[in-house]
Amino acid sequence: MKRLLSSCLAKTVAIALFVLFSLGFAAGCFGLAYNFAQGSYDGAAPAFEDSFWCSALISRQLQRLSSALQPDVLSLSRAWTDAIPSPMPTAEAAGTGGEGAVAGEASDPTPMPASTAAPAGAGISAAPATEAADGDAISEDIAAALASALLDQLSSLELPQNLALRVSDLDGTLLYDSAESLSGYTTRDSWVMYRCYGSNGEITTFLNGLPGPGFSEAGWGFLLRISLRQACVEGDAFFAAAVWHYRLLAARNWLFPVVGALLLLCLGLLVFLFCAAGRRKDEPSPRCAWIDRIPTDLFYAAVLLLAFSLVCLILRGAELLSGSWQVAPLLALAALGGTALALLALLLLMSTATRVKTRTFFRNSVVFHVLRFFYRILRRVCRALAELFQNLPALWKLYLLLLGYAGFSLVFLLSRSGFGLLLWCGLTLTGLVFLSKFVLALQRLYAGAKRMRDGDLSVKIPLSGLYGACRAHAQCLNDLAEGMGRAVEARMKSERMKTDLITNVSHDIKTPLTSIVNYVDLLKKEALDNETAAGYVQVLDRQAQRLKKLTEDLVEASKAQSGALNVVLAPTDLAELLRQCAAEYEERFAAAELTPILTLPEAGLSALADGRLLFRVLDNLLNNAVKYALPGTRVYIDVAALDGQARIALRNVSRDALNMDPAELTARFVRGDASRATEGSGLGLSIADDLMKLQGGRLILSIDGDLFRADLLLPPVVADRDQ
Amino acid sequence: MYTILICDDERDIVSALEIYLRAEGYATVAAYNGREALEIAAAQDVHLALMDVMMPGLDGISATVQLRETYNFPIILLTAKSEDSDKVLGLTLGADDYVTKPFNPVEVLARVKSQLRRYTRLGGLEERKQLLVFRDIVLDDVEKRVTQGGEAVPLTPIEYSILKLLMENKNRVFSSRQIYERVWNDAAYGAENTVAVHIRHLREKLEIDPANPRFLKVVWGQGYKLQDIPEV
Repeated sequence: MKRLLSSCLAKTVAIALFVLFSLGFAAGCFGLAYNFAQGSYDGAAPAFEDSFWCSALISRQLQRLSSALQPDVLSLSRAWTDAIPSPMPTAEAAGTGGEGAVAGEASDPTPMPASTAAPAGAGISAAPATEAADGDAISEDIAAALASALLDQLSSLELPQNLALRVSDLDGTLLYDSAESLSGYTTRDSWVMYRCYGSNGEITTFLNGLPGPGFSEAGWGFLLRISLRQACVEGDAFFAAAVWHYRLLAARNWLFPVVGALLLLCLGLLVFLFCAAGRRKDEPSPRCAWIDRIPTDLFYAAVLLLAFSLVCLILRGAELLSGSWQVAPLLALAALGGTALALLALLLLMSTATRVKTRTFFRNSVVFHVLRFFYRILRRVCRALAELFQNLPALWKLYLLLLGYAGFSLVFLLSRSGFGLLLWCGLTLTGLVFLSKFVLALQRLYAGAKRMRDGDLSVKIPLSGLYGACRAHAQCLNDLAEGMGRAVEARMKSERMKTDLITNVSHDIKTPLTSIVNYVDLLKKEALDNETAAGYVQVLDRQAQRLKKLTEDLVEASKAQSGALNVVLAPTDLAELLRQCAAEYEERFAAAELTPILTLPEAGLSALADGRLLFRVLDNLLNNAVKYALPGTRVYIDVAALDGQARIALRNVSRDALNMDPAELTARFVRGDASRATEGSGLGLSIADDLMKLQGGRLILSIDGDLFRADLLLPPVVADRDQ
Repeated sequence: MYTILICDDERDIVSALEIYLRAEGYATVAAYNGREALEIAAAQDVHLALMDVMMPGLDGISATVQLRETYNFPIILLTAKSEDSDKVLGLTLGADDYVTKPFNPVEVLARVKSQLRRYTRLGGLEERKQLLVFRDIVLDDVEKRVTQGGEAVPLTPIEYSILKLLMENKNRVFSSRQIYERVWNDAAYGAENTVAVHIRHLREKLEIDPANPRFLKVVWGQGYKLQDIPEV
């Protein structure tokens, strides 16, 4: 099927057939129309003499005769006007009184208005007739002159063969007869021409009918009657027309099916041509030919113009040809014209089909391009305006909108029309809608921000339905929440890493340390003959122990500092605690030749502290006292309540000089002994300081010469309890 | 002759422990991760296990859990992780004791001995009303004798009285004042220091590591108690 559609030959054949069929169809339609108009379907078949065609031809003859017999006025004018008694005023222009409508029963399709001819510009100026010299008949001489001139003209006329002419004057006197007898001729009432040369100088002509009863015959006139031979003979248009009339009449019954068939065929071919429009061989989809690329509106205009001029040409040609009474040229002209028109129509239709198929019908038109151009400009302008608007500061935007609203409201309300009011209502409603949306957006933003504040950082404010500043705001909040969430996560991760570090590093250090301690211990047990070797082993032992202590202290310090310790605060009896500590250190003090002196309050003194951590702090301080106090001196430990706080004070005399800032002592790795010759990691006081902070208390160190003093301050005291 | 299973991923530590234990007369068998420990326990009689916690593959805690499904010999955990939570976890899941690294070899030996004594001692004690038992400490109130793990512990009368008080009220905290009043039957007026000293002596006699007591606990700022729930 596709191959058929795209084959050029098929298309050409289809076109030719279409033209043929369309011509036939047109002819058939003409015949049908003719028969319908004739009324040949209603009953009896009308004779040729009663047909339109005949009437038309007769009317044309009358016209011709009328104009042919006109010039006699010129030759007669002098005689005629000379005979007129009074000088003539200016002859009235045609139209005054002389417009005789066609009289009687003229069922002529082309009623000819009577033409009154004024004396054709022969330089005769006549004053308007005020007095009508009617009633006076024209003199007999004039009448005779007119009659003879008329006869002269008539004899020089050429009449079609099938026509006969009879002219008589108004009295009924026969003036002229073209045929000897009128037997075998027929005539009709409308086949007459009446002319009257008025006494007032007017010529009145009536065609296709006699004048009405209101017309007064003043002057000389004649009546011309045409008759038609009943059995036309060859040689003129009447014969041809008669032949065709009877042919059409005979064919009137089978015109229907023929026209119907031709119509269907035409339509079928048209459909085929539509489908085939634009298709080429070996191409899957329709393509535009050069003709189809012409912009649609220009193309249509051109084709219609062409068709119009063609039609005009045809009509002109028909007009010219009809003078010769030959049918064949007319038919040929009709056929040619019809073919050309059919082809043009086909061109138009097929091009339209191709355009529609390739969707270029509208797109390939001047109108479209112009519209698109304007649309693009408009769009660019709108975009620029929108951008401008966007970049305005918010306050300006508000003012602009309010201004616009006010302006439009004024315009609408001042127009004082119902429509204006409607528009204003619409405007206000739109404004309200936008305002509500804005308020809702604000609410949504607030709800989201509240959720974020309350800790849910994973919430995201949905951006749909928010525009402009609100959208930006929501975006900012979302980014904020995301950033915060990430920061919190990072912080938690770092905390986890820190605790993991402490555990893992300490484990990784302690494992080899264990082996070192073990093997040094084993070495000690081995009997080493070499004294120096034994000495070295001693050193190793000492240092290994020191390393062990240092590691433990380090882990503890970092736990205390990072807050990874579990602090449990409870009311702690400080007196009890110090007694326990003193008991622990009893022997060590004795070994270091130190005398502890405890001053405890009579009633119990409780503070809010973590017993274990507080013990560690005291352990640290007492250990320091044992290590660094001057042997043979006393260590004073007292507990008292001071300004709502509990205070534990420890004082001792230092063995070595301590000329440094006490604050430095709590720093890490700072040792009282600057040479670091003695044992100690330097972390003790730092750990003690951190542990006090964890419990909400404080460690204050002070140095006065050789006197070292440590104060432990603890949070407000709970009600004393008696145990 | 007891067989002791030593399980640690550090070969040096295992060797050192083997040297110590063999010197004491124990037979040792070594494992380097939890899997091997399980295999060895299944293959031969083991009387005690020294188990490291952080090991690749099957770690010490999981191995303890699995061993406890089948065996009940004492398990001592060797841990460098000195976090309280880890110790509690290990002891709750079935270990009997723990030692932190770096450890004192003497302490390890003492603990091993103590655990073995408890393990191999077969019930067989007559339940007499005057006997107070706490772990491996037996207090005979009739004879006024205290034994720990079968061995007699010399205590002064005051120390004895204090111990008896605490054993009669296990897990209860007594302040120095309360102990004084009950033991001396006298109101305490500043003589509570002695209580602390006596407690310290008791600790030194009964605990393997007096500085880190396992059951004779000092509740700093409150008092003292005898604790048998494994709480560090």
